[in-house]
Amino acid sequence: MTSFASLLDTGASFATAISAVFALAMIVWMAALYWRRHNHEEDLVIQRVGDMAISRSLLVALAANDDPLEPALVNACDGARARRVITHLLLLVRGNDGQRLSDLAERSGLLDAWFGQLDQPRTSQRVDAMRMLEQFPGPRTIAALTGRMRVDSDHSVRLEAAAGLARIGRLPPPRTIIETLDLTQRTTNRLHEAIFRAAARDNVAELITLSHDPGLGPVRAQIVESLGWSEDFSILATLAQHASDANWEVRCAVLRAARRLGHPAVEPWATAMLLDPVDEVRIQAARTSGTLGFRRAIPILATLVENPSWWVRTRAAQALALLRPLQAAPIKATGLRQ
Amino acid sequence: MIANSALSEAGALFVVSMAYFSLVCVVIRNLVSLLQLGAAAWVFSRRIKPAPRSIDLWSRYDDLAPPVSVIAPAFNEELSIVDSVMALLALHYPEHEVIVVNDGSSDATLATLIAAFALVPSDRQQSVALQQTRVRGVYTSLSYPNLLVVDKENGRKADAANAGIGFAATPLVCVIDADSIIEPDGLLRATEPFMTDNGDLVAVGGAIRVVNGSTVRGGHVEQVRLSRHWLPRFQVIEYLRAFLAARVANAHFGALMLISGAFGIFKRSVLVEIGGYRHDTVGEDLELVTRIHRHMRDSNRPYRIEFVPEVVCWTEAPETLAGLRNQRARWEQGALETLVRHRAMIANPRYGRIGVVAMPLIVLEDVIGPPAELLGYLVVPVCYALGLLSPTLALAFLALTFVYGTGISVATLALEEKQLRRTPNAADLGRIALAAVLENFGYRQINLVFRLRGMWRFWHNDTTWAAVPRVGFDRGAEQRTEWPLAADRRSAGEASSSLGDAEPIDTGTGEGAIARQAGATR
Repeated sequence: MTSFASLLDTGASFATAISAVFALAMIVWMAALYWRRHNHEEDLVIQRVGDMAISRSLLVALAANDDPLEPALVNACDGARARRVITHLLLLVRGNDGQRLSDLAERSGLLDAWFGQLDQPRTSQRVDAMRMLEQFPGPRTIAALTGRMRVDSDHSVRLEAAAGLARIGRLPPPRTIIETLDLTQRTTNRLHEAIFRAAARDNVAELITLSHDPGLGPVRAQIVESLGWSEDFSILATLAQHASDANWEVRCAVLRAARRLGHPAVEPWATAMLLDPVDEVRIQAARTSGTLGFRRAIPILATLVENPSWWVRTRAAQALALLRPLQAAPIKATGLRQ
Repeated sequence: MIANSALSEAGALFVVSMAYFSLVCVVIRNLVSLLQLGAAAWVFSRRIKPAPRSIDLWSRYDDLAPPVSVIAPAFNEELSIVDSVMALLALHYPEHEVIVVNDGSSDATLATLIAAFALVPSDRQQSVALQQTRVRGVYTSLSYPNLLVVDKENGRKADAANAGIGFAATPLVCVIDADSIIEPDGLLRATEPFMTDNGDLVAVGGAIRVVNGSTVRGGHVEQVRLSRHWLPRFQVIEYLRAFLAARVANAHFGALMLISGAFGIFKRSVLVEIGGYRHDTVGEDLELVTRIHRHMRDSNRPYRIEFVPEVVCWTEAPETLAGLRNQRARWEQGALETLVRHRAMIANPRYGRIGVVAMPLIVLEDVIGPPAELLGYLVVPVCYALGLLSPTLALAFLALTFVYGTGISVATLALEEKQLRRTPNAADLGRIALAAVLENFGYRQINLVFRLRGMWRFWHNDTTWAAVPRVGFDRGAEQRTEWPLAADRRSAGEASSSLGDAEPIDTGTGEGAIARQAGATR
């Protein structure tokens, strides 16, 4: 009993000491953070003046068409400050000036820290580095992101690299995207869709070929949909072919692509798809008919407001409201689910 | 004599047992809070850094963001509703619809909306009726195509939110309180997890901060400042503990049990499947997330509930003890109602980590913890005075509550400063740090008493709405109003209903059970 009591006392002393040490350590840490913030605020005014001076020298060099840009202030200041200033200016300048600033950052070695971070073992560090680098779309950045997309062991990093390349318009061909991201085996998401859309304009022919490849599985619907972002009306024939595809997801994708493209030539088959047996396809067809103003679809849409599916009824009613705004669909059409 | 001695010995044994019980509870709760803090620090150190600027977010996600319906229940908000709706319409988001549900306001909320937004009657219908009251009318705006106003009979916030969910036609719905102030890019930040989701993400919560003391203009937080009063400052620390430690950690372990009623994004289809919010609880937000867990696990479907630690929303904290008492009592009552309703999940391995870990943790925090700690404050000194407890043990109890609590609060603030840095300036940081120390000496204990009051309300099945008086935000002089009015009128309503008046039921649009897990950080 005595030994139990002494054990309790020992435990209690230990708990007291731990609590005190823990609280003290946290207070010291907090004090250090407070001191850091305090100093940072005091430095902020001086820092702003310095940043403005560097910005001004860069803008003067840009205006004078100095080529290559070699502002002395950039080379003199620390990397973090130069990166901060150039990143800010990149949001303000347009066209070739942005490229020149980006080249300057690359040439001055300002991006080296981020390039080095691409090889860090932690996924978040690699992604952080890629997100910073994509603001400077020079050749070295493109090469680094492409390399990450091909070789990184983590799929999320490869996907992020692809997204980064999409944002700077330097994606590899769609087949390479599918292979490197292993898309025939993986579940896809909205980011994959956006990547294909970004690749559409420069890869129309390849996307058309891929859209006929049944081995691609669920990705094929995304390929078909991305054709709508190609801004190329020559794909209308391909869309028409896929309008009768056996896969309903592809048929939906066809309608989304048609809606995006906005060409009236799709009216015959888009209107016909209002009679598709699958609800999702009819929903897309109704939206397309309404958005693109296919007045010939009105009789079918008028029958669809009696459809058992609430979503079909609602989309049909919305389309009718667009096509004949003065003649609203009956309220019961969009009533509660039957 | 022998009988008396035996009786006093039994009494002494009982009192000592109580002291030990209290000590054990405090130790377990401290360990839990330390684990949560450690896990949160680990998550922060390994997460991908969020975009620092709105423009980066926008350029990254404008093509990815799924359409969202923002559902804002409103009750007697005539003075503030225009600002609030304008702010919601101005959110940085590619495709969002704002659904304002006027929950039978007795003031001119609806008329104000009609005039300000050129509303016209619409025949838009619900896909599903989850509300229990009648919808009186639906209006669309001639000036803002993405605004829908639903006018319905009075219910509570849950009923109003349910009505809005029925009208939503987007895959995601964001349910907020009418007096929530959403960060301009909050919606974009909070939907970020959905953009790379493979289909199993069903809900996302976001961090909420205390707006007291800040300047609010046009429904936006114009300048973040710290309140001059200590009560809101203590709550700032509580919110930090709840959102930066407890919820980040719980979400990391797949055991997030609460998405605040002030801001939560849900997959609409899942809300419809489970029938929306329950009307018969004062803790509808905790109950909803618990029911989502239960539903998904009962139907053996893979799912995730995530949490975004970036600040997405601001809310007003009570500035008086009476308001705080009502708020905390209501949170406690809501937690108990949820625990009783879903008691089959507690310690049930069928519900995985939710049943085995998360639900027992709520039991510890909301059922056992508060009375055990209060008991300790009473019993430990008595035991020490009577010589029943060694000074070392008595000191350990005090160290584990006061000193350790201070350590946890300060550590959470340090984590915030290191990772998010949303404290306005160094001076305010110092003041909050001071609050982190002081809150353990009085505020913490008062809160425990308020929670006992919630238990009392629960046992007595007291369903009257406990008002949380507000003081309104710090606005420019020209815009100064009594906003938000709802709470003031709530007080009036409570008074008059006790006189037998048939006042409409409040929507409860004040704070949701935001920092219920504040307790969980201890």
